[in-house]
Amino acid sequence: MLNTISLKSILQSSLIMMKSKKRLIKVSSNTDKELKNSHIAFRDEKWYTVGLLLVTVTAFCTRFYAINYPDEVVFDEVHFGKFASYYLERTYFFDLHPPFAKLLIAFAGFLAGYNGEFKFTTIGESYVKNEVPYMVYRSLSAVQGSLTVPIVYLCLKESGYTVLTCVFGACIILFDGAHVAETRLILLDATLIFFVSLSIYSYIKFTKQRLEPFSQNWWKWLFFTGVFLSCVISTKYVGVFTYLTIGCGVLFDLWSLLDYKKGYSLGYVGKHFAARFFLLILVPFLIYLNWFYIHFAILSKSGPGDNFMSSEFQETLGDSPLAAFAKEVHFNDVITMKHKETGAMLHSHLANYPLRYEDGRVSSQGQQVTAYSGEDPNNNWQVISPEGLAGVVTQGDVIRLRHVGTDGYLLTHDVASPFYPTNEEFTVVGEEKATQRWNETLFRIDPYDKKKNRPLKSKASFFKLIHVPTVVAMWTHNDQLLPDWGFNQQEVNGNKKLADESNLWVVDNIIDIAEDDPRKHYVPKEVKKLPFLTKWLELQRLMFVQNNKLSSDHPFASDPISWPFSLSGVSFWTNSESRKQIYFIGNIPGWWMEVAALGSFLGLVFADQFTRRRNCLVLTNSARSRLYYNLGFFFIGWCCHYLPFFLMSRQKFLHHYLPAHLIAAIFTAGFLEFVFTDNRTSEFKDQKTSREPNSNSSKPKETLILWLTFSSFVALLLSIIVWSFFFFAPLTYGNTGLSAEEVQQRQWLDMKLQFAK
Amino acid sequence: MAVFEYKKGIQRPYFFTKPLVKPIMLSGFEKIQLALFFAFTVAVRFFNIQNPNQIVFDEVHFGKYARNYINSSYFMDVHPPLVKMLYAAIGYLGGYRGDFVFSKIGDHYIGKEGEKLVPYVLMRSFPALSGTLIVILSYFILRYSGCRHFIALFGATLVCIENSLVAQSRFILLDAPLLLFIVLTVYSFVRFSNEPEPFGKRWIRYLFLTGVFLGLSVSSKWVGIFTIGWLGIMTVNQLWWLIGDLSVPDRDVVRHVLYRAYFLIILPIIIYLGVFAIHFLLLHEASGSSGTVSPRFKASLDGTDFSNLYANVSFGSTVSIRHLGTGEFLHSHNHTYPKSHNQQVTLYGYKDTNNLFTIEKKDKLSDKELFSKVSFLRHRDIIRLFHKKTQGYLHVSDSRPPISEQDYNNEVSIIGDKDYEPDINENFEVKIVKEYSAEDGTQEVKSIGTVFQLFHKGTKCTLFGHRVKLPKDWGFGQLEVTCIESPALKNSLWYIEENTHPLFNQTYPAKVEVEPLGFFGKFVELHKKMWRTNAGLTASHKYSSRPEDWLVLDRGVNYFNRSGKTIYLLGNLPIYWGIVFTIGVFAVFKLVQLWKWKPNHAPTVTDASAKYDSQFFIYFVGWLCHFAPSFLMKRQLFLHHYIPSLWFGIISIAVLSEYVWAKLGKFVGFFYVMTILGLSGFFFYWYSPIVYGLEWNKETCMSSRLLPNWDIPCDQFQ
Repeated sequence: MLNTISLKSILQSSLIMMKSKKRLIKVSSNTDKELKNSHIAFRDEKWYTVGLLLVTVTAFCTRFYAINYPDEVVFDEVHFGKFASYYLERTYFFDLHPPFAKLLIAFAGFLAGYNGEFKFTTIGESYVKNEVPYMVYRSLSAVQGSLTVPIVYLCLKESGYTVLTCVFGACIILFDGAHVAETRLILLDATLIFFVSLSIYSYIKFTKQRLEPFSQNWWKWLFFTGVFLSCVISTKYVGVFTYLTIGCGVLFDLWSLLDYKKGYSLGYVGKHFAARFFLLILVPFLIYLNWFYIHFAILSKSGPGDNFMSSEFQETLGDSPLAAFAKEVHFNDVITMKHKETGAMLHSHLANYPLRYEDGRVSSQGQQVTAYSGEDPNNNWQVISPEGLAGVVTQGDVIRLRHVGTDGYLLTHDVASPFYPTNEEFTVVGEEKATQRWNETLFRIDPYDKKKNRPLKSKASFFKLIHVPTVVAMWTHNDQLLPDWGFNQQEVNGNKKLADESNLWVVDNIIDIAEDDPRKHYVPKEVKKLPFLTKWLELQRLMFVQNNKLSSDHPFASDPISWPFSLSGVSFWTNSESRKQIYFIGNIPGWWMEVAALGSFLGLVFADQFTRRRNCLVLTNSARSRLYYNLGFFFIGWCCHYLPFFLMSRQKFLHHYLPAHLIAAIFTAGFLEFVFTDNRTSEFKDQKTSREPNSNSSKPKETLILWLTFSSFVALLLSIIVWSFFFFAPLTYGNTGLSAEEVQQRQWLDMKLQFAK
Repeated sequence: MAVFEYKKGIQRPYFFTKPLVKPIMLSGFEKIQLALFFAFTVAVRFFNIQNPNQIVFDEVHFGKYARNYINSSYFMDVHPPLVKMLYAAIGYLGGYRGDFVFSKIGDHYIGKEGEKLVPYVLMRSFPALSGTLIVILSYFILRYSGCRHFIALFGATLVCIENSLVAQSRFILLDAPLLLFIVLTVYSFVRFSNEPEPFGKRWIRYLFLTGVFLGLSVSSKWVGIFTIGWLGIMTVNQLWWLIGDLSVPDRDVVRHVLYRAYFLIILPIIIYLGVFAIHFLLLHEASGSSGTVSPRFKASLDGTDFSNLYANVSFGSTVSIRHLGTGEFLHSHNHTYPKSHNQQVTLYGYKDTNNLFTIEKKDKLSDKELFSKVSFLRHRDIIRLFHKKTQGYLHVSDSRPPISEQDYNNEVSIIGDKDYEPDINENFEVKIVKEYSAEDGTQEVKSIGTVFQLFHKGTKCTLFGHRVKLPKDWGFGQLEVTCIESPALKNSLWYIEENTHPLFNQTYPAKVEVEPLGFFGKFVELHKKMWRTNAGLTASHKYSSRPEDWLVLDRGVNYFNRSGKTIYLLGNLPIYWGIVFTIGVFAVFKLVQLWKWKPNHAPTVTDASAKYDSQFFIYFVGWLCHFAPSFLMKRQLFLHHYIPSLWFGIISIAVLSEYVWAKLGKFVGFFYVMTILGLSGFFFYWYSPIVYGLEWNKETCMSSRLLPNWDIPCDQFQ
């Protein structure tokens, strides 16, 4: 039939398509000829290419738009950015996820020439200030996120759907706020979703070779399926579900090969089985192990993950880069203390607070305590144990600090500080007074990661210094300096807001370590070796154990039942000054549409089974094979990626649904075309459309698509999806501030947005 | 019960289903045998039933509940009420008026002068009678499943002498009546399926009875849900064949579906609701355990005292604060957290003086200033909460709580004393949550009507409680309270229940009028509570076991071990292993079939294999439906949870025996049956002392611990 297409008909049909794109169809499709022609055009290779280019370019636009914003750490970038930094510094860390995607991120950082200095400690930290190549990191995600869209397109194309269907399916992903938000930040999900789509694509390609088993292409696509599956499972363990999906397909395949009517020998079926086992299980497993090999090879130095591992394992790690400078602090050592945020040293000198400040408030007139950025002997403090202990200071200990220069003790009390009436004043008092006011000189070292009982190390251990009786944290700031009476140094005071990150201090230096003290000379650690598999087994076991522990409440955790409807999302990032926020939520009309399609599919299958049992053969054989084999496969894929979550007791988040959503998008597009195709057997066709009385005879016939209704329906759905995407775009990209009213307009379903008031 | 016949239809071949067995007529000889067997069963079940004359095992619970029904005093239990009410009725008929208190295992039912304190023999007769009926019904079920008289008798005998079934049906426990209802369901369903005339009188009668007994099963214990699952699978399977049977007209297919939907879904629901309606009618008095129910539920009980429940809450009010999500009270006591050594704050389910807090202003006031003025608490007021019993203030510190150690959790404790200087870390802002509050309680805080959050000013977090238990050894299994930055809403909501103030009097301010909960409200609240309690029974128990242990009878449960008597729930090993063997044979059979199966090819049907296939399927699915879900349950489980499954398993043994008999001939069949019977009979006889609480030899007892985990206590024997 294809040979007979005239240029004219191509033009004609392309015209129809152009018009349908503009939702302006006015062409009547009454005549059969036009109906057929448009149909053929939609299967023309050229148009497939045009559609592919269109969605790919748009995908890149949506993923890369404003990728530099916000230039701050967003949500889980805290974790994955941090891991990349550890890779770059080669210090050992522990995480629940397999290493593949994290290695990719680190590799991007490596290419950008980054040294991994920044540790992504809290959401909202500035990338620009810390000179992080975050655009490179994010671009890696965005490229994968963008490429997912054309892969979805190709999945539909290879399944034999028309251009319109392919474009529609791709657009469900393309214009989805959840996919966009998740795949342009430094997260693992872009990689995960990308390789899920590639696995499905290669498996479809593979099944298309089924008539020529063991041909070159057959081997090629089987191999690729395995490789991509391996990448999925090496990114996150939800990859098991992708395995399950492909596994269902493979089992069905093998089962049909066993059919006695095909007449294959058991040996031949065995060969089929062996090929699949080798390429889908064995090779992927080796690739999976390979990532761990690289992981261990890179992380050769000791780091934050040490404590998770056994002591044998720890002996395989070299010293961390800090080790040469990080020295254990002992009681009675003289030290200097540095404020993390401003870099100033804790300081005191022989000058008192003035009796009255400019605003009329009164001080204690005690000796000033300030923070000073320069080197000075007055920065020296001696660490003293209240119980008179000697030896190593551990984090969590209570200490007293003696100012060496003036021989007094650090103290804080309920007197307002020079600038902050709410904060407590710090001062230094002499020996005698310090004994009288013993309690007020006690400070607790509160480690920043809350892990106590480790030795306090200079340069390495960040901590808050909490005053024991009044529970305030020692704090300093450089936005306003003390006036002349304080020599323009920084004010130090007691902050009641304990949770502030700016409360962190670190021991900068230990002064005058004696020559005979072993701490004086740095001796690098001796590194031992363990076989790779031993290390891998230990880590693997640990990952599973830790994974099962993640079972308690998390404020953003949600129930799987709410996912397909996208009832509530996750707040990724907020900025209260400009009223901007990034809120992770799906394209609600798009997601509900998928649910409708999935539900209708079940209804259709039930109706088909029921009517057939009652001897009404409504659907043609080709329609049924499409319904069960093609759509059925995607449906199973969705089930495999979604239902197992109900059995899991660990904490679950909306982004866990994205792979299932992706498969459901392919399914939905295909299902829509199925619905708008005339699938009836001749017996059930009405008079108008049944032109040939024996249409179910031996001659295979192109199925007929009801073009006018199909394309206008798709156009309607697409416009709703696109509208919704743009409506929610301020929440997806977070680069537009919204008024309270505008926020409220977007607060659909159970969403809890910021700044709604 | 039905045989499939392959018919050539007009357009395509189809299966035609027809009932398997005509109503059976017993011959005279069979009747005599059956009568003798009945007598034997009665003897097995009722033998020595008055022994021991003490409270055995869970009799302590079910006796107590019977007493509650008789006294009309409210109680809460994890099981639906039907069987408990029946026990109460039987006890009442026997003259029990609630004077005897079932307080602990081992208490004597007989008074010092030999007078009977409780009609316990009568009460125990009910499960024993149930046990007897189960045996007889098993015989008829097997007959209607196409087994010959001898095989049916064999199956019934196995049911009769199965140790755990005997032991379980001799005491005031739920399982024997529950199993009776399940077996009655199966019997009615088998009869229904065998009825040749659809929509006829008898057809409808058995369908009706199936629904009724299904409803009664699920009203006895939630295990009945598995029975519903089994019946659901059976019904769908039946309908599937019916739909494919082209000799049934379309209209009749619809009727088949509708009839079943009505009798098997709607009818059981009505019965279940009805049982609960009676339950609420009987229990109309408030009692000690009514402290755990919501105020509106409480209001529906007689004798509830809401006299100190003033509507407005004032500074200076002494209140108890209740957590909406769990229904438990904010609580503290004189014990500390092990790590931080701060005083614990928990959620506690019962009314207690340790739940009382006084609402104080942010600033320090003397008692005089505080209590001499009424000033109502309003939205966004800042309060401090003074724990009356231990004289300290509710406090949040920036350290991790004992269980939930994530960074966003802060520890909640009680700190300081009466003269403690006011500090931001004891300040809480009252944030009324309008969506959950009554209309008049959105500005001023009202008892019960106002639902609010407590926002901690110092660490900027919200007071939060959840169903995470503190360890028994230091936290008494009470629930953890923490403070979280952005909590799940439901678990951060509180309301005020008790509310007193020295200046409040009879006329000022107004009292809260609590509207009593209607039937459905009570029904839903009770079910939520039952579900949670059930799921919360996770603590390990000395005699608990896991489902996989039941298959091989890994261990039993010690029911009674004193006064020279020992009762130990142990199954009949040959029967237990026989079930595994039978199921294994079925699995192999099915796998072979699957391998042979060719698509688009009619299965070859012989009479015996079709019968075996279709019948075995019924009981196998029954066994699976009652067994497999146990694996998903995280709560503590005991051997007696296997009992419904066990019964289905025994019937499966008999069905396989019938197939062996039919396929391999009389001689092999007889040998096969007698082997099983002999082994299990011997086992029953050998272990009967620990079923009936009889004398035994200590050495024999010790040597009877066949498997390593059979911890039969032998210390009571000589």
